[in-house]
Amino acid sequence: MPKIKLQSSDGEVFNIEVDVAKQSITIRTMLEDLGMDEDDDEAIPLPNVNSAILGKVLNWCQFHKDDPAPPEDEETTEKRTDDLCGFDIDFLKVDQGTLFELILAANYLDIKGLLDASCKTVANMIKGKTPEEIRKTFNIKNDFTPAEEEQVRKENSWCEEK
Amino acid sequence: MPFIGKDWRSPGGLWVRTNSGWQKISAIRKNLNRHIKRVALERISGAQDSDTNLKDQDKASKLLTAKNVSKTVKFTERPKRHYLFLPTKCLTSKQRGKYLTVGEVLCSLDFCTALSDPRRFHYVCKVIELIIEEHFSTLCGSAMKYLFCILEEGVNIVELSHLFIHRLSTLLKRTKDKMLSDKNKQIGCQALYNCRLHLLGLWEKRLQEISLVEREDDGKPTLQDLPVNCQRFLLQCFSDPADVIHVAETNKHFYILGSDPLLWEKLFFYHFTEAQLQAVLRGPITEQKIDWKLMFKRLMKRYEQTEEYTSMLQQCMRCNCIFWQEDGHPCCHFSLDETLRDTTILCTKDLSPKDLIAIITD
Repeated sequence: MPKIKLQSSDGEVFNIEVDVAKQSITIRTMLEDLGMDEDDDEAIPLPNVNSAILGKVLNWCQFHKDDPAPPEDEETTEKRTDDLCGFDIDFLKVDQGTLFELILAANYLDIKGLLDASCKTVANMIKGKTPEEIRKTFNIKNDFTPAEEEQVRKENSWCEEK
Repeated sequence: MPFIGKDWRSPGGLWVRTNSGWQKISAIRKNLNRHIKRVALERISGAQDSDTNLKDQDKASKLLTAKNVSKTVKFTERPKRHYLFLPTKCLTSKQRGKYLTVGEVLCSLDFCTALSDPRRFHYVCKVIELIIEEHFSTLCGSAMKYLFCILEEGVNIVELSHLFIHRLSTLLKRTKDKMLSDKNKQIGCQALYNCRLHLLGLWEKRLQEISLVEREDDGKPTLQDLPVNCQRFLLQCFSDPADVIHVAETNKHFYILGSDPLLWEKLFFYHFTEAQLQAVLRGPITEQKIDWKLMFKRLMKRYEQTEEYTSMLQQCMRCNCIFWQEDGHPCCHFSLDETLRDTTILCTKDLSPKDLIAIITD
């Protein structure tokens, strides 16, 4: 199996199969644009991803390497957040900081499946919570004045009627 | 002179022949009753919980403590099959109702285990919600027992995962309200009723005591540190407008994101169709400048919102079997030769929670 080298922001080099790495559109584009061969000893630098997160991302890619290509954004009309496979559910049982780092890495590396799964995990953490609970969970500072907050609440009170 | 024994005034006992010789039937009945009582007491008494405070309850209800009742409602002996054949000979749903009850469906399709599957959680919650709203007072004893088993399982799951706390709290509250409003229609004794109310109270308290893990400043990225495209992508994951609005109400940045017209347009067309939109507009859609959030608010009052579930119950149209999507069922159709199979009949049909309840109870 042809392999390539990826270098994280802190200098660690990962030797990975090309098929696994090509799940990242960013890496695939780099390989095509730079005309890099699989036999090249030179590692592809990924300055925005540290070794811990890159290791996890590559682990995810390894598991999902045989998955069919995800549909384009315009084609998907589903809004399900509970259709994650068992591997993804366990893989994403991490602390919030790591979860958001995975989202940033998936966004930078353009790995739609991982971005999808991690955003759905965050969405599940938000669903059903009140605004105050969301603020506590995600450490969001409330910058509304009391009057603004009341106005926004009144404006949106229709969604609570069911 | 006839022999007059000690029991000469009685009509005489009935004797039956057993393996161990001739025995009086009254003695056998006494032994049987003693055996049944012993088994029942063993099941009910179990380990006594000394911390449970049950004032003003009689002796029978003292035995029915929360722990004991929760033990008795476990259906561990029932075989776990995940499909149910609907009786085919009955033509009307009324006749079918005599053979198929809500309790039978809940037990046969193992809703308790289904609740622990994240893909089926919302589906099961919706079915339970519909049963509680519309058919609570008509449930038989075993169905009521199993329903409480499902609710307890739900509380355990939510306690572990810390997700969907409000969903389950609402469900418990509705159950409690129904129990209070339909008090005279309940099956069982006063002690059981009191105990069930007490259980519901305990479960509500357990959910209220779930403390949210607050995010600390650990130097790692937060939700606000994500790029705007990721935050927009996150908001597009929600199918319930309430979730979008709650995020929008957290701070000014999310308020702007949550007011995005494109987000509301996608949400609108997820729940409603163009035909439904046209019904409220005066001219063609293309000539209108539409406030999608406002339009959503307007159509929400007229039409039902779309419900989508990852894993649902399905009905096989050939063998009339109800089964879980992933588990399959032993269909008679596939046992036929390929040449005999009728491919024109649609094989399976998804059953929404309302469809399921309609099949059982109409």
